[in-house]
Amino acid sequence: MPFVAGVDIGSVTTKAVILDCAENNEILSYHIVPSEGDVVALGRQSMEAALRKIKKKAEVKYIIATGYGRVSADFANSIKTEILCHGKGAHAMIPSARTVIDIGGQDSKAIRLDEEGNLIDFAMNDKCAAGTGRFLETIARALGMKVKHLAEVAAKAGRPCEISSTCTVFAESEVVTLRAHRNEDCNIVAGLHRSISKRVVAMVKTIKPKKEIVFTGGVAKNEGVKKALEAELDTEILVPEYPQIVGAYGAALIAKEEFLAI
Amino acid sequence: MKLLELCGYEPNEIKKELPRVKKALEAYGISQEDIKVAEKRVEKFWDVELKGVRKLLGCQLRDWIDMILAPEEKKKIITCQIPSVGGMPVAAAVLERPHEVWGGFPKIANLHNLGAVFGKLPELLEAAENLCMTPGEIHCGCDMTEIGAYAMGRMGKRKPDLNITWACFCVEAPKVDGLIEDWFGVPTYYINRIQDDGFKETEVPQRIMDYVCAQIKGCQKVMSDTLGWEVTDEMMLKGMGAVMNCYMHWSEIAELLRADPMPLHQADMSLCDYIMFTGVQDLAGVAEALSILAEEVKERVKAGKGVLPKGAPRVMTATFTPISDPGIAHMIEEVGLAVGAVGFRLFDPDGSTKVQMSEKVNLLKWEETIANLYIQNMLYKGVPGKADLIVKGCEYWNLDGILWLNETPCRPFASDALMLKEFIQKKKDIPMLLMDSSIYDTRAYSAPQLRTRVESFAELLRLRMAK
Repeated sequence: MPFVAGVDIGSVTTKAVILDCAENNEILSYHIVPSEGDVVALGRQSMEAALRKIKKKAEVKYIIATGYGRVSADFANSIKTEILCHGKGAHAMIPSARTVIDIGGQDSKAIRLDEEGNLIDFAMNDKCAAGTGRFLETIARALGMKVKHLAEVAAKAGRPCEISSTCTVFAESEVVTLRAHRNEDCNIVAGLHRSISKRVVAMVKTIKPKKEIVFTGGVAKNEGVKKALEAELDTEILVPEYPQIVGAYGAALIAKEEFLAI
Repeated sequence: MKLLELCGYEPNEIKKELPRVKKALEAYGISQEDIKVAEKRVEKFWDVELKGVRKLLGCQLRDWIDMILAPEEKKKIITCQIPSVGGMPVAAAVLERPHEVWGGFPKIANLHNLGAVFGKLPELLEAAENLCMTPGEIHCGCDMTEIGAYAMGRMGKRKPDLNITWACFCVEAPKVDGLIEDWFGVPTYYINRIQDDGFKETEVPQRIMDYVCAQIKGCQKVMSDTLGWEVTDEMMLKGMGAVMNCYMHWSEIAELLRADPMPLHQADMSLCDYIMFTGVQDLAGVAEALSILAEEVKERVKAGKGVLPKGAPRVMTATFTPISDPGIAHMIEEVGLAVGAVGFRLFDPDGSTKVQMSEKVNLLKWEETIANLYIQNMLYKGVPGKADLIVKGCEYWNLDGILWLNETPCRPFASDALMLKEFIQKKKDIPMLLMDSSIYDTRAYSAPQLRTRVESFAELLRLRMAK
């Protein structure tokens, strides 16, 4: 059976997903690498690495590239925007999804879908790093923590600090000041999660979110941000099993559709 | 100079004008290398195969050169500010004594020529920042261009004799004009408008019309005092007639854009939009250029020739597409969207360019005609009035979506964008994308930075059309 691939060349990580053309749309393999250096080469390498994980001898027949590096992806048959791919991927993973919140490395998106998973509205903030994964990374560095530990630390918070959400750089100095005033790290991190959520939810509300709300992107792995978003939106949100590869998965699904239509 | 040929200058005109052009460019610090860059940019951004486009570029360049040289050529200088209600009265004075008066819009002349053609706008923007408009405070790039020109001494050795501004729309522009009056000694006349017509009013109350008319009429006396000769009502009517002649040709081109496939690039249409309301120095030249282009576009429509494939999704952008960076208009087309309309082209009653004056308007009173013309434009309405006209405009211009390129630093625009989306979508099921952008500051937003969202919107529209 022929294979197809979706490659999401993001600002922080590059993801590749391999599918076959079976009806169940099952992910056969995926691979994630940091986006450092030649992102086009990385896109190709991540796809090849994903292919190697499949035991059978495999050849990819059709590739869709998405993400910031998509325009340079000369190995792809076609390119699609990450908004379309994230919507597609999220709806395939969670068919009841009507709103997708994606927080990636350098942007955040809110996507509205209809019952069939078609894109009907979206909003995107890609001018400012506040409200993105980069914001979390910067603050984690200022606190001397790893990003993956932020949720665990925030869980101990009793009284989250107020942190400005307007600028990543100023928020970093704010965090240093809060620490100097002997605020506990757990309260600072919880405040940080609340800050990022407020900013993202303000954007989400511009597209009139409907249930179910699905949270994707690397930041969706942070339980603290998820809880803060739920509190701001006053509703439960769902996180797919592999939130980081939703865009690549959506790209692979479109690759499959386009390949079968040839 | 190849640049002059690209801008539609005739050979005998090049011979005659070259010394003036060189002198003006030198005064603006434009080098030979800058001219080479400009030639490439002109070929990249505009369809110079079209004679009408070349002529329009020429009108813009000539206006700029005349503006730069006006002080040393001992002309009286009357500057106007956008929104451009002062343009018509100034046109009357220029038309009467073209060799004695330079009248026009320095902001637009600089944004187009220094910005779009030479790619050197940041020097004015930075000068404004160094003077008083602190970076990061989201000042209007248009106002920064104006104050930057004064800060760099680009307005010439002699200050303008009069500045006519319009304190009814922008929040920042009249403040900037006040500052220029105080710091640089430029006498300024403010055309005001009371803004109490109410959020839900779609028709402007008579008391407001009366007030605006009196304000516009006030221009006549101030101009007469400044020029030292009387600008009469007859001159005003003649000037208005010349402007309306340009308007007629502009409207003809705009209306041709209803054709599918889209017959003209938005960057070229944008040239028409700006020159139509600011090219007051050479109204005959503007009218000629617009009429040539109208014929060329008509030919394209007749031949079914387009700049995008037939059936491309059609969108309305907000007021205008960016003047100082035509690359953004091209990017919109590269992702497959045709710009079928911009907000500025929407007038009462049906959202077309065909203005219908109310029976109450006395056409012999030039100030009533000007006031009505402006106030019938979508820009000057409250949110429900704007939404109403945009919905009508979507029908009229056969649009599939609204790509609202918000002029983010502009308070009148940025403050009601989301409300506008809600009002529009209550009336009509049409996708509308709100995007932060700037139509003036080339450093704030670029085509690659905006592309993902525009491309996603194009995908959304295509999916919707396929359904």
